[in-house]
Amino acid sequence: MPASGHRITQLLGEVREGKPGSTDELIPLLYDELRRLAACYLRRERAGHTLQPTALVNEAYLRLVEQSDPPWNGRAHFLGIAARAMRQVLVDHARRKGAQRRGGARPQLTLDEAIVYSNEQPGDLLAVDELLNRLAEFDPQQARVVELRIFGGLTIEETAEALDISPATVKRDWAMAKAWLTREIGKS
Amino acid sequence: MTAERWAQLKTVFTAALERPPGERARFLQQTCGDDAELLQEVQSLLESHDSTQTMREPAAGPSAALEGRRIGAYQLLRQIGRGGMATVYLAARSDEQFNKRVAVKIVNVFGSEELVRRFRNERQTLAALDHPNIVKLLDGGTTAEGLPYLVMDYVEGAPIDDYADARRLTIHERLTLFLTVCAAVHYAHRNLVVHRDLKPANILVTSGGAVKLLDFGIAKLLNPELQPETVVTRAAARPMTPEYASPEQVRGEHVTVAADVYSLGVILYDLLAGRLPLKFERESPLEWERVVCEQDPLPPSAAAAEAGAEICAARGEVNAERLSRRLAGDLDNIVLMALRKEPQRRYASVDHFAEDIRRFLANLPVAARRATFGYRARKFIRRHAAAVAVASAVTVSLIGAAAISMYEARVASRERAAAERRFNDLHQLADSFLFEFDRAIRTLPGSTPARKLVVEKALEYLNRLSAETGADPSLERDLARAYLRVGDIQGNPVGPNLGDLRGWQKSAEKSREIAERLVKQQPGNADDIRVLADADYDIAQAQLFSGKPKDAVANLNQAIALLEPLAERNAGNLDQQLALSACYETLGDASGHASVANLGQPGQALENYRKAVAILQRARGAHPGDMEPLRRLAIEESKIGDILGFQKDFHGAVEHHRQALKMFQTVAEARPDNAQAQRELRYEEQRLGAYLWDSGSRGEGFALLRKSLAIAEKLSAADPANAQFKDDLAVSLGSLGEAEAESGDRNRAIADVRRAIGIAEEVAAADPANRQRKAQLAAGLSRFANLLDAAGQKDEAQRARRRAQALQRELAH
Repeated sequence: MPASGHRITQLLGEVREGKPGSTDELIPLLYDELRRLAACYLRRERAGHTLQPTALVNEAYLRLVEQSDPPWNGRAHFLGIAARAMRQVLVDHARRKGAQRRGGARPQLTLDEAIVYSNEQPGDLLAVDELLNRLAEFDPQQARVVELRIFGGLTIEETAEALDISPATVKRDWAMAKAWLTREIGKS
Repeated sequence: MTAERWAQLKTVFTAALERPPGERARFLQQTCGDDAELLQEVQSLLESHDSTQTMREPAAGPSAALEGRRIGAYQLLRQIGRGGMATVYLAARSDEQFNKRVAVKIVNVFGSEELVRRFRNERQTLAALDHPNIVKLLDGGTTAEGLPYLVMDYVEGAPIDDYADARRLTIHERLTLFLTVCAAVHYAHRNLVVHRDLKPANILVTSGGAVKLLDFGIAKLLNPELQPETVVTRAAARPMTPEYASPEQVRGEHVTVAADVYSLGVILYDLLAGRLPLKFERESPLEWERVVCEQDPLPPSAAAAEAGAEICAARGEVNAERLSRRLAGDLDNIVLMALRKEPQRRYASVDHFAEDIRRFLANLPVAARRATFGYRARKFIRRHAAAVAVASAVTVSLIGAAAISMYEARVASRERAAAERRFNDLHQLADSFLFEFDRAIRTLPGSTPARKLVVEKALEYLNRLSAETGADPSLERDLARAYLRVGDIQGNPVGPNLGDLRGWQKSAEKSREIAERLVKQQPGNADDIRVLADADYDIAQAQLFSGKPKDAVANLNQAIALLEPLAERNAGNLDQQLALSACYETLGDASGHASVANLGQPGQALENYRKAVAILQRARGAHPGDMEPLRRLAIEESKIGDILGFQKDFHGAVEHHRQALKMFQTVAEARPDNAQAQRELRYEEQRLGAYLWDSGSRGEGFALLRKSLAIAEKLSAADPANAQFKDDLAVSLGSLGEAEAESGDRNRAIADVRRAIGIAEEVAAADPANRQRKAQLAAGLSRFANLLDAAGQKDEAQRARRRAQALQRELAH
């Protein structure tokens, strides 16, 4: 296991206990790990190259946490935090590619359970990112649900566990946010 | 948008969503009142929501875009659902006065003859089901593309669980509703039809409260066993909906009415307690099997004790405690009886299940009992047979002593189970790396090094597991397959590879070693024999491409000796026939095909290709819906044409290439979105075009060369970064240019070849390590220089020549 793994496990414990500052320390660690993994996939900047962030997040989880056998079931929390880091990784990648928020052509994204990031359309990702920021202004919880679902690949149940709300609430938030995002993407 | 306005929107949207689609409009009118803006906003969100409704597994099947099409007597209006294997459309009878709405379900796989036949038989059985609560199967058939389809009554309704929640049905009302479902399922059982995929999505309730069951017996029609090209992984045994599948279903065992009893148990559990009885940590077949077969669900009352306020409210209970108390006792026992792991310990029929619910509603004693200690002990012993065997070696008569050893056995078995689970998980992970993951990234440009890494990792896992656990045949077999996969990536030129022919051969030899050992241990095992033959075949291919046709022939003959009996025994197994024909084809290449160093025996080559043709024609007859035999036949015909051309029989060569072209055209038409089919068609057009041109039929030859260029242009335009497409385009432009030059159209020739060179330069620059591309570019540049010279364009000719020389110098290093 990579050296950062132990620290990450430790930090996850602290996040769970609500220790102040632990999330702040955890996100950059995860960010680095995820960026490293993503770079492996995206190094060859060729067309048609896609990346499924949720697969990366799960891979990171396997690498960093599962082997260390955490005494509690922290998967949902890990994924919840990793989802945010993953979103950041992708947004940064898209920005580095100098992507513009697309005008005119409708993004090719479908908001199914998990987003697929394509090297060819980094602008699509920025579009989703921007919409999520907007959504967060009037419904932070809903924006977070979407983030966990599409960047972390969390199931309804896991999302509920990570956010400490009921699965039914997650389902409702997800249905509405998906409807709103799909509509707004269509407008762009 | 303010947070306040959003919250209001959310309340109305959510409430509307809980109502059946037919009632939404009225509900919105009432709720929104004069607030037209709110009304419009919710409506637009609801529309958007409906457009996002896809099922669990969106699959890009061949029936992806059939809207507006006419199938049989039905006009497809719009897609209303999509699952892993089928897509459902709302449709209307297009030839009748009355406009009846129906649902048309189109299977997303091309049916083998067997599948289509099964479909037809099954359809007759299903059409005979006539029950007010079962959706009527109206019609069925096969589309022009060969996709089986079914036509059913169209039902507008909500899944039973959503319906019950939206209507806030009490436990009593839920049980009554559920009894209607049981009656319909029991009716089907009496007609010898098992549903196999009961779940809320298949049990709709209309706004009028009528229950309608969908998809009776469809699961059987869609059974993966009946699919062609099923990959042999555990995933193939995946039940359609693991949450509702019985242990025997996830294990892929024989399915009876008891499976429907189990699924009904899951549905009732959810209706009562507001959650599913089992929870999967991961989405993987292994996890499904583990949980469904081993994990005991909590009694519904215990699950309900943790229910949230909404679940309670939807059941008309004030809190979780009250709900839990209502379920405790008889209802717990009834539901758990339906959910027993062993089919024979569940209710003997759906009617028995229903009878117990009726008795409960009538306050009579029920038949279901809490599992007895004896029952649980038996279950325990069966689950942990090995550990218990150890414990029972110490025969004990005192109950206390027995309990202690039982306890110890439990501890021991828990550790053993954990180890076993870990082993299975790792095995599964390696498996998925090797097959699913590799397949998923294989077509990505530039993924070859990543594939190698992934496959090597899997190999490492398997090796380590094998060292830890000793000989486990299934593991060893996977190890042998893994080596073949690594070999492909190292050097098999059929796909993207690292150009390491030696590595390829070595890996294949390692695979062979393992497979040989397995075959010795268990001489009759067809899987092992197949791996051994595959290894022989791969060794032969590597030898052939390394210029050792003689060695290759020896290995191919070994592979054929292994495969012939298998192919004979499994005449209906397409894969075995294809493998055998591939051996003969490669044997033909080694004997005398000019594309590889060969033995110079064209007669021998023809004989082998013809053997392959015979096998493939039989396979084509047995699997008319499958394009693969035809595609392979086309390749054989093309190669036979090549050999005849080599023997200066131009007439014969053209004849066979014409045959090949016709077949490639059929394949490409059946697979319009398949780039490989288009590329093969392009190749054959160019090949035949060149033959015709060379043999004097210049007009027809030229036309084919142009067609070939058109395909190359189209493919490359659709995927501009694809290096293979660019290669094709350069080749097409180059040969067209040469033909133009020969016919005296020098200007056009120069323009086309110039473009070909430009593209080739681009491709070579992107792939600097590829020597072959450089060599081809250098050769092209030399020819281009000659062409320019002849046209008097000395400066450009000189530049091209210098560039060619520079490339040759690079290659010399």
